[in-house]
Amino acid sequence: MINLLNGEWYKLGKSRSFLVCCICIVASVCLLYGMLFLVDEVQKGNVENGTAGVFVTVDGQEPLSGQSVFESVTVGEILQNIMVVFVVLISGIFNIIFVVGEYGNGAMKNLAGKGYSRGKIFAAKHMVCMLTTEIMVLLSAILNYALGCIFIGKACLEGAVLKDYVIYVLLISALVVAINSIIAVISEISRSLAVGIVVVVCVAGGISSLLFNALDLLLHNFSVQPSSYWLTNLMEECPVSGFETEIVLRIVISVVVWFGVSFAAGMWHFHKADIK
Amino acid sequence: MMQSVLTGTVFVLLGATGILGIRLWRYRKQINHISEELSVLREEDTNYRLSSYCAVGKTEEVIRKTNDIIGHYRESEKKLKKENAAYRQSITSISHDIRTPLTSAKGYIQIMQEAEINPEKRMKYAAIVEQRLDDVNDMLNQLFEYARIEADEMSWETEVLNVGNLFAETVSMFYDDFVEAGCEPEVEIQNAPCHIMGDRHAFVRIVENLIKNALVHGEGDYRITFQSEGGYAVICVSNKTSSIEKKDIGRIFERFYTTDQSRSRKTTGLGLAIVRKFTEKMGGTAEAVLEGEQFSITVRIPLASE
Amino acid sequence: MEKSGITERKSMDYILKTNNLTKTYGKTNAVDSVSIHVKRGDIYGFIGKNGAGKTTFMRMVAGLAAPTRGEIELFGKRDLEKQRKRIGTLIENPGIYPNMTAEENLEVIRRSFGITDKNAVKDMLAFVGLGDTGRKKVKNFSMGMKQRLGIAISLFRNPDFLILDEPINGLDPAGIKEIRDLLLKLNTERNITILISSHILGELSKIATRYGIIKGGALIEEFAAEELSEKCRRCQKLAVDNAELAVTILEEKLHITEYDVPESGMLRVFGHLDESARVNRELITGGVEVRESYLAGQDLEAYFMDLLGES
Repeated sequence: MINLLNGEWYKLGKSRSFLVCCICIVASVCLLYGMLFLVDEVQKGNVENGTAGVFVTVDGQEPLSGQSVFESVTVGEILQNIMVVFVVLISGIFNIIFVVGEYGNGAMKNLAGKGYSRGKIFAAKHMVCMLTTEIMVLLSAILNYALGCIFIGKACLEGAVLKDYVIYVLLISALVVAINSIIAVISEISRSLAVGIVVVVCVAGGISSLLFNALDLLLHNFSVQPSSYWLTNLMEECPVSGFETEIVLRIVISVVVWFGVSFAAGMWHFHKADIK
Repeated sequence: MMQSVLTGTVFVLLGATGILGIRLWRYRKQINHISEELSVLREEDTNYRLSSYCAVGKTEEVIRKTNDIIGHYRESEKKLKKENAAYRQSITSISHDIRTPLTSAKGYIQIMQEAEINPEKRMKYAAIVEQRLDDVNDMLNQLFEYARIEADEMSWETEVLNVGNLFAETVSMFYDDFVEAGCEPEVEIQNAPCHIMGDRHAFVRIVENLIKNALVHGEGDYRITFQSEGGYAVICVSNKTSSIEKKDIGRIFERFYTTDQSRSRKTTGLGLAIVRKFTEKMGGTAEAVLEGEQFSITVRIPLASE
Repeated sequence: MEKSGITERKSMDYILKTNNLTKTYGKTNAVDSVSIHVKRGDIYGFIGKNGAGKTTFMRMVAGLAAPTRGEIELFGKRDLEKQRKRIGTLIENPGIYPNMTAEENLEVIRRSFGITDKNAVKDMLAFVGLGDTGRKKVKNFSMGMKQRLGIAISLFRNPDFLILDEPINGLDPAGIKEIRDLLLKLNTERNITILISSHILGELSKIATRYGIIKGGALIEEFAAEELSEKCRRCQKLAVDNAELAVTILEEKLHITEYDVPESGMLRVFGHLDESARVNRELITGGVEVRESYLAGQDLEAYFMDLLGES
């Protein structure tokens, strides 16, 4: 299996889509900070409110001079936005392209049935998907931290803030990886780009959260709350500081269960599927 | 203070153990994998080569070198099979070659045994029978000589030989044969004396076999030259031919190799193999070149150091 | 069982043997109880119309699809996963990454299978004639070059058995000759057994040593190349109304024993071709209606078309 991973790693290095996705992540983080910088300038009065079509209001009113958006927001909160909005979408899209592409160009034929068991092949491919996801998460986290230090200043570098940031990154990585595991397995089973894109859009666009909330209402009488164990809801719920045991536990359980189930489903399907 | 140093040390030790543990695991996996693949290679006749489970230490180098050895082994196996096949075929055709003149001789003798045969015809037939027996003798001689060379049982006496003289002597022995072939050869022998270290008999045989080969297979345009060049005694025998193709050139020095598929001429395919063997024993090289219809063999033997 | 030294090499009878191999999709059997036998050193030609089940069969042997029923034996053994290390396959279009160069594609294979020889990629590319493609991406390759890369991939692990599904599909005549020469070389020099499917019969007949005919998912005939030339012999073909009577006349009156009855109403006489007029006369006077009588030598195409089409 180590050899399989070696091959995949080499492929990744030559993959243009991986590069493009990473650049997208970098671009979106920079864009976000650009926006915030603009808001800050408007607040400070250096720039007219309404420049570049950006209107800033604080509690429905024009911002008072002297306030700085960078003082009211922590680096962790910025990361939360980045994760929920950008990272899930971009990593999800990359994973679909990667998984479906393998079948499209028939490269799977070279590996399947050549001495490696189906299980090993699937495990290796899945691991690579998760690895790329993690790389994208870490890329955005580190970049965010760096830009945060530049714009927010000294507050970022405090020991406590850093410690919270690291813990948050750990938790959110687990969640994003679990989400991508589901996306990857669905792509593998459907082998269709269309299905994959629909799923990613649903997940990243918040539709899945809505679905689970609806499920809550349905099962209201049984006092069961499925949405508290759904990954995208948990992403939004996940605090950036002051981590209570309860939520951490819920996150860990959900990640393990969802990842485990999707991995098992993918493994089972790949084991018996015909490879075109 | 002490506590953090202690914790730090513990962490470092744990880390080191972890790394070493992983390395050990990798070595074990790799060795198990190699052992398994070697069992397969040992038991099956296969083109497969060893692969690596994971790169650790020098194991990949070991794999590479083992694969090289396996490759060589299979190559020599193949070569051996081919040579055996060629050898078996040669035995068959040689026995056929020997049988043919003997049968012919026997036929003539049977005719001769008839009482009504006139003495003139009888003499003629007797001469033919003698010729046939000579042919068989020649073939057998060549065969036995080659067998002894292969077994390194030839007597070999190294002495200083005057190449020019010896060469001229041997060539002149074939004068009659060239007359019979109706084509006088172009002979060039340099005047300046030069010497080599080698066995007299072997050297004569080299020249003999080269000329015989030209006579039997060539179709004219015979050129026989000798000169010293760049520290070597260079002998070249060339002739016109249409029975050799470029692809035969590489194999022409192989024992039992002959382009005469019909075996209409009495060749054992050993003449040139002997040339090469003897040449190499004297530290030289033999090389064949085909240019259009002109075929030539060049033998280079290092000169004796003065 | 540990033995020191080199144990006596086993020579198994068959490289590939399948036993009633079946693949069912829904209600139809794409492959129906196929039992083929491929001997070591064979070039086994798999012949059948498009959709007859050749590709599905090969995919099962290659491990890409699971059989519904039946067994496969590779190299005389049943542990297919391990044995498949020794086979190379090229099924339908080659599995290559279009955005990478030929060298990079082979490098992925090299790493995935842990092949340690660093020059393996360069050597293989030179071997198949792609040594000078440099940085050209595979998506810009011609069809022939892509096929060659596919073959390079299938040969990369020094296989003993090659499974090729329509490898000359889409190649120009020069390319076809190259592949044919290559396959022959591999078969004689490296002792590689080849299972090759094609619908270009002329090509196949140049190199195949055994044939397997597939129709409707089932193996209808399996025979060696020598037998094929037997079957395509020159003969006198007769269309008669009473084959039994005709046969009796052949045997009793004409003493002809070399004949066969390929289908009712048809007679094929293999010997005595110069006496065809006499055969006609005897049959007619004996009471047999001879509707057609002509000399025929079946070529391969016709023979296979017969087998695949009308029968």
